[in-house]
Amino acid sequence: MGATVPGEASAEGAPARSFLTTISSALAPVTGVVRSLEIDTRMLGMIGALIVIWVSFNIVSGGTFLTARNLWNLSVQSASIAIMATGMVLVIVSRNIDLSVGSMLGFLGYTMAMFQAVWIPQSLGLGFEQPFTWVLTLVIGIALGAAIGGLQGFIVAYGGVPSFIVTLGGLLVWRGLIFRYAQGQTIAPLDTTFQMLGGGTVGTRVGALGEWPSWTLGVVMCVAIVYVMISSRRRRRRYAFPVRAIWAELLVGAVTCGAVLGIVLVANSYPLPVNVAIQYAEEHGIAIPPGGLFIPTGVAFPVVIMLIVTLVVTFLATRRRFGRYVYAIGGNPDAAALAGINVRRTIMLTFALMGSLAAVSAAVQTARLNAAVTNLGVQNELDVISAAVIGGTSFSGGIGTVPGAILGAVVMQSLRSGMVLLLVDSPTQDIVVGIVLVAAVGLDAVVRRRVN
Amino acid sequence: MIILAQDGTAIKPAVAKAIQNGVPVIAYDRLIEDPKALYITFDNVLVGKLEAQAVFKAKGTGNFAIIKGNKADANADFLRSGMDQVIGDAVKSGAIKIVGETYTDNWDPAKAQTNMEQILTANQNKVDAVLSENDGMAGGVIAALTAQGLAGKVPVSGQDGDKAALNRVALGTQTVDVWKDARLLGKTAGEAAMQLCNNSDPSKVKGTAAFKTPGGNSLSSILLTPNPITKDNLKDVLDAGWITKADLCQGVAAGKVSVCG
Amino acid sequence: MLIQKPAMPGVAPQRVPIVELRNIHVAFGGVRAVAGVTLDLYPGEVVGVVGGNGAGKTTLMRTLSGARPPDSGQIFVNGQPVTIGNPRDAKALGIETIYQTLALADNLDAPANVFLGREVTSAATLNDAAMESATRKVIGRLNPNFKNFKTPVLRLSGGQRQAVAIARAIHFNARALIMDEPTAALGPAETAQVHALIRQLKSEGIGIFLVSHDIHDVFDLSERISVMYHGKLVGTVNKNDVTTDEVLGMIILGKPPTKLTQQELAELHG
Repeated sequence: MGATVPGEASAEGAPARSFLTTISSALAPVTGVVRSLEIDTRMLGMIGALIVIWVSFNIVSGGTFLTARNLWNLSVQSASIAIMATGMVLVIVSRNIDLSVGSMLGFLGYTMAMFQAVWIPQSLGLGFEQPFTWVLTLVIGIALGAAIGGLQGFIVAYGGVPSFIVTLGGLLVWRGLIFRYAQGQTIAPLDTTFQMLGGGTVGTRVGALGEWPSWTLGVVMCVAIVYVMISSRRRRRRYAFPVRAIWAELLVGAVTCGAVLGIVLVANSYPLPVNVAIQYAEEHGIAIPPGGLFIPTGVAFPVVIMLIVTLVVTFLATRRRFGRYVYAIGGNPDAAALAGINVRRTIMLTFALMGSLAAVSAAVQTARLNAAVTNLGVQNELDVISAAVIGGTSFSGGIGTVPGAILGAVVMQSLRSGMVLLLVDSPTQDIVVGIVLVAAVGLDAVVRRRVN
Repeated sequence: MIILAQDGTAIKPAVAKAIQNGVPVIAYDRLIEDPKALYITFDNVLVGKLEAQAVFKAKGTGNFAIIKGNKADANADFLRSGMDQVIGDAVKSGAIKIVGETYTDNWDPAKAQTNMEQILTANQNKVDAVLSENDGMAGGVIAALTAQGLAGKVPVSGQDGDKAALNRVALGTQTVDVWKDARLLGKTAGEAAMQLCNNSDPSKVKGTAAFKTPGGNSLSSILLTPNPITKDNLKDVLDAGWITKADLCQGVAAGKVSVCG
Repeated sequence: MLIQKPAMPGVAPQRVPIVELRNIHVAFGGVRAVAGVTLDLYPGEVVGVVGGNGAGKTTLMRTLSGARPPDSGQIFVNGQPVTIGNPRDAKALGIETIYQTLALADNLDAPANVFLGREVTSAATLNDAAMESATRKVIGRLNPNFKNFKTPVLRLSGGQRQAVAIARAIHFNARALIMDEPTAALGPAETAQVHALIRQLKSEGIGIFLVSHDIHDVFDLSERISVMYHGKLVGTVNKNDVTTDEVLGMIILGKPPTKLTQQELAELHG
């Protein structure tokens, strides 16, 4: 039950309390504004933390961190973990855990690689580079992911075996299966169209949207955000419910839209690398201007996939019965059962969803690497769980959001990428990420006790 | 007992118990820090040296990046010390500048790729050569170079004889793949095991020499000699039946590499 | 206050009971929690179900609410035999339950709890506005001061939480209500509110099983009182025919009033 039980506040030490009182009284005008904006304060805190991390790295790295190129890299590097973190939120919210995601990812990535590099071209004799290869591979991978995730979920929900045990077993089994049939060999190269899913480059084809499609995507998303805001306001009006102040509405809309268009602007500020651009110019018969050729890269496909997954999983979590039931089960499993919810089926479905998201991430990771290797996804479960938890998902169940987990993934990858930029070696990175994980959750627990 | 240890230090107590009970232990390919174990491996210092030699031959000066393996694996440091035998002087004289050097958790190619992207970003792509300790990570490095249109222009090393890596050697994106024929390793370990059954003293096994470990132990070892595969001797792996021509030459343009025709 | 006169025990009922439990048995492992209990409930009637701890009253009610299907025995709704295998079945038959624990998902808000398992959807998505609107109406009837429709019920007071649980039970046109200790966690003012509500529901023709420890509550609200003792039904008595002491005797000694000795009665009174 953890942080949300008001009675636990007494466990907290007096110094922390007075310190927090000072802070909260100093922030009183700010909290008033936040309240009328009706936004999640935790989300706001995370965005603040992210900005601090980014600005600090930018200063220390002498301005490299906040370049379009580094941010573009960061977005691609975060995508795979972020995609899985959205599913992990639902698994943890329903009071379960999935330790097998890294191994599932490896197994699914390996299978998808075999499918496109061996089975379709060689076993079926259809040859390499078929136009349908990438989509067929992806669909089969996702279906297989849903099946093996669902199998684990079935054992958890209907077999009554704790998810910790089932997925710990899964962690060993799926990894073992890779070694069994890979025999240590790497599967590469992959289908060139499939490689686009990873945001990589093949010749002059880049796994990104390019300039105008990126702007289009940004504008479409903005319109959608505004539409959702207006229609929900209308609906509340129709029922004569209180609505938020119009200035708050406008501010939230402007900031959200600004963020979306800002991401597009950054992605379009990252030009194709010189060598790729020159080759592109040669192929398309473009004369290279004296100042060099600037071809915007646009939003990378892994990021586009991450956005789609975020929208879909957020929709499932907040707008569908399935999501409502997941949260209800996490809040009070007995109450959910007494309300007539099919608890077992719901839990099985969260694991199936997790499996299919592991497949999507597997596609992104293998495509990006242009290979499936036996240690693909090793220890990814730790990153995925950390992202969800840094993003505010509570192990006591019932609490957690999909956008929070995405932010959590970005925070973690920012720390890692930033430290590599500064030539900090991996042991130190682990120490820093570990401290941040504990600090984030600890701070959250303290703040939540204050709120209750 | 033949053991391939993920972590050569963590396994020590278990190995010590086995040896106390009269079971001889062979450390297979990965070092175990126990003076009574028999260490059979390809000479990893030599592997590192061969990797660096091939890259150094292609690029003798400039900015080098070094992508090392898992920090808990002694091989990562052996390989690095072999590399140092080749480039150490040039680094001291300033001819070579190491602009990025990092361990890679679990030898994970995806992490190697991310690390390489960050090294390229930090140096505005001014990286002239990459010493990657194995093929998997070389794959990650080359994926990062490809994204910047640098694949094939920057020499990259690797080892393991991974089929995908040999294909990259044929394609010209990887400079060298130091090939350690696992079959030779297995055969040697099997023969050593048979001898240990008769006499449990590892130093009496044929072909052993004393080996100083980073942990300060001295143990008996058999060090096998690896074969660096470059574009020029791809024939060796074909002749050995290690890889099929189709796998080796996939995507290689006609007339570029002699063995591919 | 009483619109319809309920059937008396021993008198042939002129009307069909809403709910009838016949010869219900429930065992946990080897322990017989409920052994051969028969009960009925008529429209517009409150039947108090009383008994000591472990008497089996909650278990019996759980067979009716679908939380724990009986091992044997029959359930009739409006004279028709039915099978109640899960809570969904019970709700479909118009039998709603307010559990002693309230059975609320603490992390969800009031509308989500009221409609839990029976969400209103439009175009395959949750229609939160419609659910909030309906919740505002039904809770408004129970507690006009209730304002926090968007906060997790965890942050609500005991009385407000109770209102949410009751709203969930009455919103879906229940014909029979099971109330398990509905006032146990409430203060005097809130208890009075619940009492008023029970009388109102009764007047609307809803039948109520009132499970309670509080013998005064039961005498105050019920027409008939069924007493359980060690999993068995001691008897069902008409409130007007017995004294509180006699009912206490049934609860504590497990004997019907006719079998109580004067001495036993005196001890109970003392």
